[in-house]
Amino acid sequence: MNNLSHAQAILVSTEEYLKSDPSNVILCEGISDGFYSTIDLLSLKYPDQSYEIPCSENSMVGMALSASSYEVTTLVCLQRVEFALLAIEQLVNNSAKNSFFTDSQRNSPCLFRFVIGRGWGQGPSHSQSLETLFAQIPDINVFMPVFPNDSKLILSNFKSLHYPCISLEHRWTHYSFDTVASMDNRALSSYVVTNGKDLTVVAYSYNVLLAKAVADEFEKLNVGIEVINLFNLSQINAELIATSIAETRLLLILDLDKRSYSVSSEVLGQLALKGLLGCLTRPPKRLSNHGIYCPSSPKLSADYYLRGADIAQAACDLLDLDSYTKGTLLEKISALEQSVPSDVPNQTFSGPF
Amino acid sequence: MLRDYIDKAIKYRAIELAIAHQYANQKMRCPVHLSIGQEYWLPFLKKNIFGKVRCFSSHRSHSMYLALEGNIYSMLEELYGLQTGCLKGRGGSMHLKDLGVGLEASVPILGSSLPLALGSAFSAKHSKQHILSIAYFGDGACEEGVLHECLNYASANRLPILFICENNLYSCNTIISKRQPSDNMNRFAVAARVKTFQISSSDSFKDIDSVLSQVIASSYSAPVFLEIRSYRLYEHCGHRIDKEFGDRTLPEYNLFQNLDPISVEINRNSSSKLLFDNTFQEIVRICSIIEESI
Repeated sequence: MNNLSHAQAILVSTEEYLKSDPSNVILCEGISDGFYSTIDLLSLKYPDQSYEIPCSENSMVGMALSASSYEVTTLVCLQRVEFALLAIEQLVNNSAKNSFFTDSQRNSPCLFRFVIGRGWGQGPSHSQSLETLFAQIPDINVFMPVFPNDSKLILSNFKSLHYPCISLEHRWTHYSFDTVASMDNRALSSYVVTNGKDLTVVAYSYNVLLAKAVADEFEKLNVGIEVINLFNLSQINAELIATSIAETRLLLILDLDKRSYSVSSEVLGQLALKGLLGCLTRPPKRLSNHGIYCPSSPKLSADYYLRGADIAQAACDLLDLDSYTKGTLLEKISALEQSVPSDVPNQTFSGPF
Repeated sequence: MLRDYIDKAIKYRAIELAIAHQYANQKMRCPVHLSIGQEYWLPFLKKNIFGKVRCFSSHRSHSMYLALEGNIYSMLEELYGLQTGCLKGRGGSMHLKDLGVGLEASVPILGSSLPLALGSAFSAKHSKQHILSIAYFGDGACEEGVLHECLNYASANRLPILFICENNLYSCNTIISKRQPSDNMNRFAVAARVKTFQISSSDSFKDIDSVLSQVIASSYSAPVFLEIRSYRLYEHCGHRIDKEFGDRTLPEYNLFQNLDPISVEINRNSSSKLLFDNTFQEIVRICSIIEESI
């Protein structure tokens, strides 16, 4: 297991991508700023492969889609997911359609890194994730990395895929480190982060870190929570979830965006259609943030976001734990969460982004 | 020599009119956007391209397909939705492509294919390949922001790309004066410091040839914007003449009809008339055979 943070691992993998082939290029708004330290100095080291792009998201996304059908491979970085909304036209109208029309003679092996913001007053226009919006586009691979190895897998594999890839990168996952599970030999698919026999928690993106922290506390009281990282939203591994719930018989799903028309809806739909929910001893639960848009102020945003304590509460309810155990767990998890200000990922973070 | 290219334009007119003729039979079950009245410059595009080209069209895609000399039978079969069509029946008239001749894509969302042309040019420049990328669109696409994004980037990065804007004065049935403060499309390119050219149906074939020669020669080193002034003699989508539909007036229609260089050529030259008639009959014959088979 290496000791690189997620951000550092992206930097290393991006350099490997640029180093491996002069036709591999990177395009970024503000490329020399380092994009949250994930591409630091690469534009100086690989100036002929590094392209600054103007605030023209639709044409730049379309340009990258198209260019990757020809002599080059493209990696595009946009500072926040919301900017990619200006490029929805190209993503929907042109993403993998050329491949459809040409029997795969014109594929688009490109990668778009769109960052999801959180904290430090990001407010309602810099904090959305909108994953189901992108996952609905046919033949686009939508990944939501959590750990260093997730992004390493994406960066080292996207060139071999026929269709465009989107990596929705939660800003607060940049500080994560690999676990043993995330380093196992893996495909670009869902995987188990922590094993447990009592409750299955299905999560993705930053919520995986929240769920894992909760699972670690439950483990201390010999309550096993199995946390599954969906990771690849375009190919949800329903069989993996089914195997888990066949044992735990309890299911909790965490949405990063919203609950209706959401990832949890898709997961539950796929499991129901395959007749895999019959093993549950209680109806499944799902959680997400406590509102529609994230307010800007630290106090209001703290109330908005899903907390570890919310997950612990739902887990206790599903597990029907006694009130003493429940109280102990909630107190411990709340104390842990309150040890760091709610609007930063850790004590070392300094604003604004 | 020039004669050969005028003859090609006459053939293209005959092909489009034959398609309009057969379309009435309701067997081509896809929207068709014909370019009847706008073909006069088409043969001179390919004439002046030396080397590899990648073209990206909008919905009025028959034009570029014909200009690049795509396979006519495959095009007709595509219009009829056959498996043997150039897109195996997946795209119809609005998505025509023929990778063999360089028609890479046709996208019926006006300016949507512009970034694709930009990407082709970006890739060619990065890899130092001598390839010309062409974005082909109409005056309606100039009302979408993506044109300005593409002109801006192409200019700032001196991409080898040719923007061909065919200004037929109408978006569907709405005249340009209701949509824009000027009918000069070159003004958008001027704002992005892109070199501009213009041709119109009143120019001689010789002059059109000369301008296209300059346009293409210039496009390999920096972006170029060519405005083609033209007038569509048939309806926006379909096989009918719409002389007084929408914003059109009869005097306006008659004025442009009289200026139409292909009609003038067919009417004054018996060999042109014969060429037109033979081509028209041949396409009708092929269409009839296809129609009998489906």
